[in-house]
Amino acid sequence: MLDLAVKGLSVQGRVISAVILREIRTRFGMYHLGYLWAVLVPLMFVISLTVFFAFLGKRSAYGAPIELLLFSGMMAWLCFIDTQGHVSRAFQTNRQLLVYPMVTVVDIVIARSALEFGTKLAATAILAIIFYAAGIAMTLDDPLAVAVSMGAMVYFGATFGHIVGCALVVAPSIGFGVNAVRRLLFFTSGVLFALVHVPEQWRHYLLLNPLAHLIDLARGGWITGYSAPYADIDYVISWAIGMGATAAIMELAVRRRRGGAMR
Amino acid sequence: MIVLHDVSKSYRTDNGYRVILDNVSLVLPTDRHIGVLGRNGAGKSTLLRMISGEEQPDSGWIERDAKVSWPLGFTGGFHPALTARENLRFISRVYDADIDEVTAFVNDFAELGEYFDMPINTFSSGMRGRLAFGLSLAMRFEFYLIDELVSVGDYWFRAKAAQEFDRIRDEAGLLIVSHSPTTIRKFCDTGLVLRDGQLTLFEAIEDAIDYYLDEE
Repeated sequence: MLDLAVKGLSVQGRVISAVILREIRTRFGMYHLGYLWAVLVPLMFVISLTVFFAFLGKRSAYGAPIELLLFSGMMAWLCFIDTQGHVSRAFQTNRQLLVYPMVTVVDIVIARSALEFGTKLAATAILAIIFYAAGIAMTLDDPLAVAVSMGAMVYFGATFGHIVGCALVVAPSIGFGVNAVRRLLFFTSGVLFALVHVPEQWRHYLLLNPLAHLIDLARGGWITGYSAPYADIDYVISWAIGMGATAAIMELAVRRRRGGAMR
Repeated sequence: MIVLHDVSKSYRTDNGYRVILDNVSLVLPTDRHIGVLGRNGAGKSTLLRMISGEEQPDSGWIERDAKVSWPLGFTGGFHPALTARENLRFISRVYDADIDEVTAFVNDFAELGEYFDMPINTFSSGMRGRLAFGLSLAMRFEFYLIDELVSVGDYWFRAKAAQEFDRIRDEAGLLIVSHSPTTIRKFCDTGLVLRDGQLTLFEAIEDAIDYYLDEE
C-alpha cells in the first residue's frame, strides 16, 4: 500500500514538473516581451496610482510610502487573479494533455499554480529592488508573512479557478458572472486603500472577503511597524477549506461530462 | 492484462441516450492481437479511449497491468506551438522515457528533416501522423491500441513502417479497431465484438467474424 502511494507520488511529481517546463515554454517563450510583462503590469499600476493619489494629496499610509501600500497589495492580488485565469483557461488549453492517462486535472492545476507562484515571487523581488533603487523607502519586515500571504492568494486563485473551469463545462454563459465576482473581490480586497481609513461600519463588510485579510497580512509583512490587525487567519483557513471542498465536489460532478482522466 | 469491472458507458445525444457498454465485465489478454469488430457508431473508438485511460467509464472501472499506448493514429496530444523536439521531450518526461533515445529514434524514423525543430502547427497531417507513429514506437508500449489502421495514413504501408509494425506484432500485444473483417483477419488472432452494449471475446478470429457478419 505504501509502495503504491510512493509510486503514485513520484509519477505525479514527474508529471507536474514536465507540465511546468512545458508551460514555461508555451506561456512566456513565445511572446516578444515574455517575462517582462510579469514585472511591467504591476509597475505600471503602482506608478499610475501613485500619481493619482499624489493629486489627492496622499503620500503615505501606515507610515509607509504610498508606493509600498500599492505594491504590496497589488502583488498579492495578482497572485490570486492571474492564477485564477490560468487555471480556468487550462480546462480548454490543456485538454489535449489528458490523453496521457497519468496526467490528471489536479496535476495541471498544481503545475500552473506553482509556476504562477514562482513567477510572482520573482517579479516581486525584482520590483522591490527597482523601487528601492528609485529611492522609495522600502521596508521588508517579515518575508515569511509576505510569502505565506502570496501563497495563500495563489491557493484561492487555484480553487476559484478550478470551480470556474468546472462551472463553465456545465454553463458556458457564466463568464459574465465570473467577471462581476472578480471585480467585486478586487474593490473590496483593499488593494487600492488602507483598511484603517475605512469607517468601522464599512470595514466590517470588506472583511467578509477573505482576500482582504490576506492583503492586510502581506502589508504587515512589508511595512515596519504595521502589524496587520485585520488579518484573521482562522477566518481565512475556514474559507480555504470551503473552497477546496467545493472545487473537489465540482470536479467529481463534471469529470464525466468533460472526459479526461482524474484520480 | 486489462480487466473491465462492471463498466458502463453511454452518451447523451439529441435522440436520448446511446449505450456503448452496458455493465460489462471482461478480461482482455495483453499478449494477444485482438481485433475489435462493431458497426459504425457502436462505440469502438470510445472503447479504445476508455482502455487507454483517456476517457472514464460512467460506472465501474478498468484495471491495467501493462504499459498501454494512447490510440495510434491520434495526433491531438501535441502542443501545436511547440516544436516536434519539444513535444517529444515533454511526452518522454511524462512517461519517464529516455529523452535522448526517444528523440534519436523518432528523428530517424519520422524523417521530418528541418521540420523536427519547427512548431507542429506548420506540419501537414501526414507529418503529424509520422511523428505520432514514430513516437508511439519509441515508447516501447506493451499493448498498442490502433484505431482504424487505414486512417493513420499511407506511411503505415511504406517498407520501414511495415517492418516496425511487424516488430510491434512480435514484441507486444495489439488491439485493432476496424469495421473491416479483412483487416482484422490479416492482423489479429483474437476477436472482440461490440454489439448492443455488450462485448464478446472469441478465441478464434473466424468465430468473431462469423458472429459479427451474422448480425448484418
